[in-house]
Amino acid sequence: MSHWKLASSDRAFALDVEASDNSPMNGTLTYQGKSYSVTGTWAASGSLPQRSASAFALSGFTGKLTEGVPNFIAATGIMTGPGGSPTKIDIQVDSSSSADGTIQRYTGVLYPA
Amino acid sequence: MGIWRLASPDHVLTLDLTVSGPKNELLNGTLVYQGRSYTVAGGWAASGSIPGRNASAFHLSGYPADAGKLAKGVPNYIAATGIMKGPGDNPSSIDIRVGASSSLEGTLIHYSGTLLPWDGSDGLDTFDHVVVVMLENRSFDNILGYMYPNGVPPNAPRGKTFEGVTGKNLSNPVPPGVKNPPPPGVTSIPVAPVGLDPNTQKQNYFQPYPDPGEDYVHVNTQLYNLINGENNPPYNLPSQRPLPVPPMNGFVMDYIENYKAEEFKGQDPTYAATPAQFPFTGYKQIMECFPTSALPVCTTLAEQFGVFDHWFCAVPSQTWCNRAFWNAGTSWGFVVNATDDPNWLSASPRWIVDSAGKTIFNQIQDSGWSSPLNWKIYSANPFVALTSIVHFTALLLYHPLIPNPFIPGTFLPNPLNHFYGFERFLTDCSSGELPSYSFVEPRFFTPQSDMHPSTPDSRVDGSGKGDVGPVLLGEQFVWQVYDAIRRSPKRDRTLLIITFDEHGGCYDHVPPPGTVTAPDLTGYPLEDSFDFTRLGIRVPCIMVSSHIAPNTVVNTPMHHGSFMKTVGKKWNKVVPRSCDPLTARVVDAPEFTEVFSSPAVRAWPEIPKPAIPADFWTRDYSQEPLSPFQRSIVEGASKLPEAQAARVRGLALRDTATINTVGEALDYLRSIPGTLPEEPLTLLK
Repeated sequence: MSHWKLASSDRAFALDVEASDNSPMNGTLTYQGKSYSVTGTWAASGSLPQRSASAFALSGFTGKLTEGVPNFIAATGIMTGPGGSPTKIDIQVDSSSSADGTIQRYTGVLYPA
Repeated sequence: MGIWRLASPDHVLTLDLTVSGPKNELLNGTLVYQGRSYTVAGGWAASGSIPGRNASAFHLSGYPADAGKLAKGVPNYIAATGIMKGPGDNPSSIDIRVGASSSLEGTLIHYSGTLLPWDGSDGLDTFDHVVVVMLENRSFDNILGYMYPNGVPPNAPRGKTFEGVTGKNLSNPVPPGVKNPPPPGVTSIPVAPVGLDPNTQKQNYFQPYPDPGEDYVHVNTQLYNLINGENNPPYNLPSQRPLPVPPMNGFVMDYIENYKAEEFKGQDPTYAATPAQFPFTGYKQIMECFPTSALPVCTTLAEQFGVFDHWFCAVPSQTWCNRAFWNAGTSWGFVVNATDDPNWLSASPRWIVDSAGKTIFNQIQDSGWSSPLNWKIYSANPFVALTSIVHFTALLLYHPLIPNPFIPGTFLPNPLNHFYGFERFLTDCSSGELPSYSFVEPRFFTPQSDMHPSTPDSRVDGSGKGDVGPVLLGEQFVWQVYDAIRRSPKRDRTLLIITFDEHGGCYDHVPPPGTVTAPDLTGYPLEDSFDFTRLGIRVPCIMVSSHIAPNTVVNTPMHHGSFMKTVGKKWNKVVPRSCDPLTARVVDAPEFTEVFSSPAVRAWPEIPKPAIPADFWTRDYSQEPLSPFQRSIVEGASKLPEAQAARVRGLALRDTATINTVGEALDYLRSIPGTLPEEPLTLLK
């Protein structure tokens, strides 16, 4: 099990998840001051022939699905560096709001926090 | 419980979700994006279910639907969020944002769009019969590049773009120091339409002449405009790794080099042809693409039904390998035609051993005696069909005739035969007896209907008149196939696929994708050190069906593996697990289902028959020179067990090295015991 803890340089976006190859990823993604519980999956670069990049997908929500007014988030990205100690993550994120029906997009690079 | 079943208008993205959970808050199902299927899970919050929830927002994430791929393959991942509109058990639309990441390429892509209700059909239930016509050696630009000069019509069913040549100012540089330079001031050659024969003022159907380079090292030069090692490392590739995106700027250089080195040894091509030359050489012609007016059959079908403008062949190289990939998902490490293998002359060359590898024909065959699946290969020369040579060992049991055990040297009809003449295809169409899978070969020997560019000194039509060429005969052949199906009682249940094995050295401007999953090649030597992680150049792919609306254009990148992936999925619905992907290349291939753009049955228009000069059918073509490709078929036939047995029995089969003309080649094929005579040319009429 590896721990990925990275953030954008302006700290507007932060990722804090547990990850092991081809197993569920779990953790927290923080975006614009909101904290999302996220789950997902990834494949480690080099773990099999032709896996040239460590790709992943995560998605989740704020609060609880059965209570309140959650926001939702979906993220995909490419992690660079060893699985136990990422050096950076290129990430693209979309979020949606059940409060006002808006959708926002973020792309950026995360570095070890 | 509820079902969310929606699709984008172009069907690039489809969503098929089940709503579940104690409070109907969970989502599970399948998301298909660009032909790839993902198992996704997530949740949502229903608008109005709790005060403050003013919109139905959701999230999803997932991985390839093929679980084996997740554990052993090279997966893409996907995540999505958006806003659903309408009731929770019957959405009226979804505004969706989707991100995808690739562990193969290390790329991220993003999709944004609106999904509308969809009936859930993937189109695979719209046909029972698949007919594949695989022609030879033409790029997408060469055949279809001038289509849609004003773009796809705005009322097209799926609102697509078209990646042709019009308006792009495409060109290739003239190599510095070329012996016969262009006029002063000309440093590059633009894409231009294939013109008229200046002698006859009729369309030139011979272009490009002579046959451009097509094997691995030539294709590398065409991609990168480099010559550095040729048949030795680095095989005309740049030194950077990963390889840069190919600039597609070496077609002129390679045409010139191939002309000098292999076609007209020691001679240099001129810049442009003169009327005195026939057929017309001149290196500027390699940048020429056929105008739509020259190919009314192919371009009409592409426009009236569906065309894929990003269909790539499997290997940046030759015929045998690309054809092997179509029906087997691998070429067992071969990059060039097997007859170029130094080991070919041995008693048991590697191809004959390795071609025991299973094909989709074998999968259908093995689906059981009670299986409704069946297959036929139709060829002008069914005993030496190219497919029987490419899949030499895997298909040996299914030849038309088998040795008579009681009378040596004679043969009996094979009850397991799956090879038939083209005439049988026509009757199977008219009688409604097409099998599940028909693979229809064009005529490969001169005058060829396969559209293959002509070999040096070939006049193709045997007259030197220049009024018939392989491209025109190919048009005639495609018309025959189309019209036979159009008049078949099974028309509305038939999918016709018209494609090409490889680009054959003809110009194309779209760089092939730089990464693709290789088949498992453990134990196979890799020719020219090629690792099969790159695709070949774009080829035309046209699909015709009663469920493909006019002006359908599929922009999603596909490759030869997409065929087995998609039809295998269809046939697995008929006989479970019968046609599982044979190789990792097929597992990872996108499916072409978005082409099925017409839920309702549509008509097949009548298309005028191409005009072939009346005296063509009696012309003598027996003295035409044998092309390297035609020679490879003769060489392959010489390895047939019947040919080997003939030699053992002392029958004097001709030494293939002495065969130089088409007439000699056909005589040789007829001399192999147990062969059937080639069907008459007039069958093309």
